Amino acid sequence: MRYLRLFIILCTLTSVLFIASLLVGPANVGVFDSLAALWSDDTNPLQLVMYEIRLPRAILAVMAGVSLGLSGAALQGYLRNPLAEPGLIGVSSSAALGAVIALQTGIAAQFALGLPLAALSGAVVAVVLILFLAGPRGGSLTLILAGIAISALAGALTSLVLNLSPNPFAVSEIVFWMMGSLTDRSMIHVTLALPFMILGWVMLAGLGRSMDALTLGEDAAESMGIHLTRVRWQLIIGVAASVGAMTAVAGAIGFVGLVVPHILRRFVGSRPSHLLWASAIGGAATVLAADIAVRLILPDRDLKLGVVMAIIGAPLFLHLIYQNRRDVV
Amino acid sequence: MTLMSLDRLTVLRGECPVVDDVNLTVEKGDFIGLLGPNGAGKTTLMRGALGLVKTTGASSILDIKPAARAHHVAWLPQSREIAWPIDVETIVSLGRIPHGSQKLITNTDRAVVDRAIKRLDLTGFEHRIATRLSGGEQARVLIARALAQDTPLILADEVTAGLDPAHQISVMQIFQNLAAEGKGIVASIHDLGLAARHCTRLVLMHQGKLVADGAPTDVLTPENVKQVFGVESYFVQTDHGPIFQPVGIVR
Repeated sequence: MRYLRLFIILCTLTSVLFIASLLVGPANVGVFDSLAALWSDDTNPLQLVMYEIRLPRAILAVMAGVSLGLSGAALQGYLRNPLAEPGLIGVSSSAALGAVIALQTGIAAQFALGLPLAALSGAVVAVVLILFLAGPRGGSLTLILAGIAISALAGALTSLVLNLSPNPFAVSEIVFWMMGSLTDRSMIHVTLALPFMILGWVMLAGLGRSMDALTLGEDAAESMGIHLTRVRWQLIIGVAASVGAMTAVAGAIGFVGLVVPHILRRFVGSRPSHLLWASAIGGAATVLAADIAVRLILPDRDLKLGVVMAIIGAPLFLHLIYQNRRDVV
Repeated sequence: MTLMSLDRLTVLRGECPVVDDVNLTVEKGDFIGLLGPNGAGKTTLMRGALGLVKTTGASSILDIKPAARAHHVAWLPQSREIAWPIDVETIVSLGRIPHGSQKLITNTDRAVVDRAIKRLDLTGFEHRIATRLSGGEQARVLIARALAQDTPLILADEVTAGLDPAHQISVMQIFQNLAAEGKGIVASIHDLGLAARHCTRLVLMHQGKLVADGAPTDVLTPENVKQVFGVESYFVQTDHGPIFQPVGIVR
């Protein structure tokens, strides 16, 4: 396999970052003590820290990264546009809106799946709107404008819901849903999101051949036996399920799906099918790294993961727009 | 053997028929030049025959199950789209997608891809990035992609547009040879002279209707050319083969 080396590098990087993520935290414990606690049977505070705080956080980072990287690569492959990304086109913020509505109306408290399902519904609405407005023939400008409009609307509605909420902490919650964070998550969040994410991953991972064929345009792809309607639905459900579930437990984290495929594209010969798996693993590594950075840079200020991703991602986004403009001219 | 037959094929855009009641059969060995002015319905006819737009009437391709169609006919759209900076060899091997998983390229796949690359004079370009090639080179890469699909029938839209004279002739010769090997080719062409020299059969369309179908000399008559294209023409048989040249606009 031509890309075996890339695969091994990405997997190794992700594993190293995963272990590093387990070792970083306010509880000042040695490397071996922390890792040993994961395998020890006796109940001590260290084991509690590892199992209840650090392990779910690291697992969620991997899950979020895979979801975002895979969704970004799939959206870009389908729209044939390197600017497509679940955060930028409003999928994440719409999912956050769904999650906030579920939490504030009490649906989430009434039955456990209410939260992820509501976030998923928000995400479905956004993906359908984007495909309807910007479609594959819509071009970059339409895509970005549609994304701005959807993000703005979803963001405003999220703020409105929280504004009207009687909950005194609602205002600080706005920050969480807009920026995303993996702080204080538990195994409950992992088990809540994982089934939906796996459904989404399976859907998106199956799109490789279609994405490759779509490189030559819709007509050519269809004449090569690609069922475009099915591809479209697989993409909508895949992105909505993975990003929706991700947002339901970690808030809206942007730019991962933009940065990761952009960096990895050259290493897979730009081939959309290879970019799918590469971005999935690369996404996990990126979110793990960013989440470690959040804890290392300002350990006692609860820096939001989404803020760090935006600081890294937004300049790259500007660069891509510049490059895109130059290519068109 | 008939590779494609269209029976009263009609494509409507709103109320107006863009392709109007067309009957056409393509046999093995046919290299059909599909002629007609802009807006005559050439592209829509081919897209309709492939099932890419809604039609009434019958196209034999639509009788084939959707999954098997890609084994019977390859389609070269007019928009030469290559979305990502992928190398030439990979683009050409995309033509193998209907033949199974592209991840495990079999030896047959390899051989077909290599043959297509050679046929289109792209040897040495295999590892170049397709999007950085000139327009004409990209056109040849995409033709090679369609050949790699290895189908008995190929439909091609404006396939020689933007190629230099040498490559125009070589593409026409490739299609001629493929037809001689028993494939069927339908190619819409604006260069009437090129079509007259290389195609085994010409089909002339005007305002959505098929107005002539036959050997080049029977189709490119001065009356037909005047009526359909609005130009005077000069058509002779020479030692260099048939020479067709439009010479002036009909006033």
